[in-house]
Amino acid sequence: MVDRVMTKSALAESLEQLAATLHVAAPVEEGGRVMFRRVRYAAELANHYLPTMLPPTKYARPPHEELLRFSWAEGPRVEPVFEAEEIVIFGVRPCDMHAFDLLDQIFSEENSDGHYQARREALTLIGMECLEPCDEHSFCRSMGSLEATGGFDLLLSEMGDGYYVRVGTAKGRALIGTFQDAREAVYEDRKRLRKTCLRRESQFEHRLEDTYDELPRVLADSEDSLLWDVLGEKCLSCGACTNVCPTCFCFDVHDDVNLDLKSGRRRRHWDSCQLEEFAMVGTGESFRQPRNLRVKHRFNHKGRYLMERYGVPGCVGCGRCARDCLVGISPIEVFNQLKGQPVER
Amino acid sequence: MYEALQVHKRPRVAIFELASCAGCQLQILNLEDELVDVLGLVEFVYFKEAMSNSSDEYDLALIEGSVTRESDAEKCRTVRERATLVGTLGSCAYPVGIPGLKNHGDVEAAAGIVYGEKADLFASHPVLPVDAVIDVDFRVLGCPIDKKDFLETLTALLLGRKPPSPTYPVCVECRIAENSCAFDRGETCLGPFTRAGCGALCPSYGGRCYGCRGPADDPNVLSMQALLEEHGLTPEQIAADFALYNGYERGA
Repeated sequence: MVDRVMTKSALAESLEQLAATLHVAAPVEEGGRVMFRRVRYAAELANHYLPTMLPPTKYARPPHEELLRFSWAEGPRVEPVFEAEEIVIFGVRPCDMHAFDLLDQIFSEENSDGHYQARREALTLIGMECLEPCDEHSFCRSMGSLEATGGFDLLLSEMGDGYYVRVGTAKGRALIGTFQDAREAVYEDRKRLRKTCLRRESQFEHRLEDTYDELPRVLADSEDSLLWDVLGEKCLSCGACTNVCPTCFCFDVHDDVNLDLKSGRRRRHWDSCQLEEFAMVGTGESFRQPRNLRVKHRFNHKGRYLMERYGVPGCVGCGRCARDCLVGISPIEVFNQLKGQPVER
Repeated sequence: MYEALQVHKRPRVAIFELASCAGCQLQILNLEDELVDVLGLVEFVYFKEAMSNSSDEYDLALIEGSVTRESDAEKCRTVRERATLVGTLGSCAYPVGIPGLKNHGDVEAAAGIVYGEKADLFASHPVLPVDAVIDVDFRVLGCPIDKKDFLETLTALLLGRKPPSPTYPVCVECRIAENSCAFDRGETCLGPFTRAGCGALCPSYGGRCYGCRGPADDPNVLSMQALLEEHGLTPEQIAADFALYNGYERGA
């Protein structure tokens, strides 16, 4: 598919045209935090590199979601609900595109989840390459997610006063066809893009001492590490880390019964392995009650279990969990400490 | 236990008020869109903020307020005897709420401040939550209670299910709401300690959490105290912060 080049003002205009008829979501700054929100005007967009508070994957798996409606007023009746809104998400960072890829695998390949798929298929992702690191918490380069390798419909790379636009899918091609003044990229543009990418490489540090494919072994060797106890004493079990994580996908299901007591809706809600009830069974026992075990589970899930199962890391290095942790638990520190630094009590 | 209510076609509900502002009763009256449906499900036989009738025969009792004197405790025991199920409404009944502030000063002096020269006529003891006096089957939390919470509790009881109540802290709901964190703003907050279920109401309107719903299951109190100290609170300020709603010390 032919790459394109657009000026920033042309892109802004095209986005506004799109937003006039469609739900366009983009990072917006509000009271010091950046969030994906519906936008109408290009001026609303945050010109910001910090990952958004919640990842854009929230559009494919919202925090609360209706699965079905039921009624037994005239015999049992169940009606599945598939909600999907066409949304163009602008400004998805490579880390979050990797997260979309992983969630696609989890919700589509093994256990096909119609609710996720319906929402996901209605999404158009316009990616935005990162040319400089966001802050000290991110470690995308170590997790192999600095570069967008797929998952996008269009991918923008900032070049001077314009963007180099790569087309990832037929959907992306159709979309760019509607954009004004998107000229075809020529040899000179590609040369310039390569230069930009080369310059970028040197700016992103490898913050992990291991490459991500070593993490499963490091974690397997750390089953009895004292670090889990240290972290367990600190952790508030507030679930911030898992709620802001772009690759977390656990949920709980509840039935809400209407006041007629004969009908209602089944909904699912984000759940978290950091919460005490997560591993609780019907008789009240919890298989991971101690906080240290819950923390250990999270890091193993991110660095080991998902890798063993899907062949890709379960963490994309966006650093959201570290940024939002009130007691400073950071995956960079945890993974590096497990690698061999002494653990002080 | 929760199956007990189903035997009655339209269970009789009585709402009792101890030391409180009656705001939780008003929250029930505020259910303007649902009240007619609620009346189809239950019969209110005693509900002081709404009607003048009263009855000693009821299936479901709801107690609002804290126990501040022996006659309150006696009332609770009578209600427990007469009702099939007893639940509490609001923070005064659990964890102990605003009336509990009395416990942090001189209890005798408090009576003097409130009743003046007639203080002798009103026997007053340290404030207790309702569950310190009688067994309670369920709680509707908050200051005031959340209307949706109340309805969900009611429908659960009528279906013989355990009333839903989150076990996790307010932070869970606060992150989902994409609120700015009070700690990031240089303030402090009891969100990591407090049981969720309010939808992070106060933080969503720019405030912080005061802990009105009591502790989440298994809060990390030591780490929470360290966090507050790190953010500039003295141990006395931390104690005062918790005392606003969580001033009743529960035995381990």
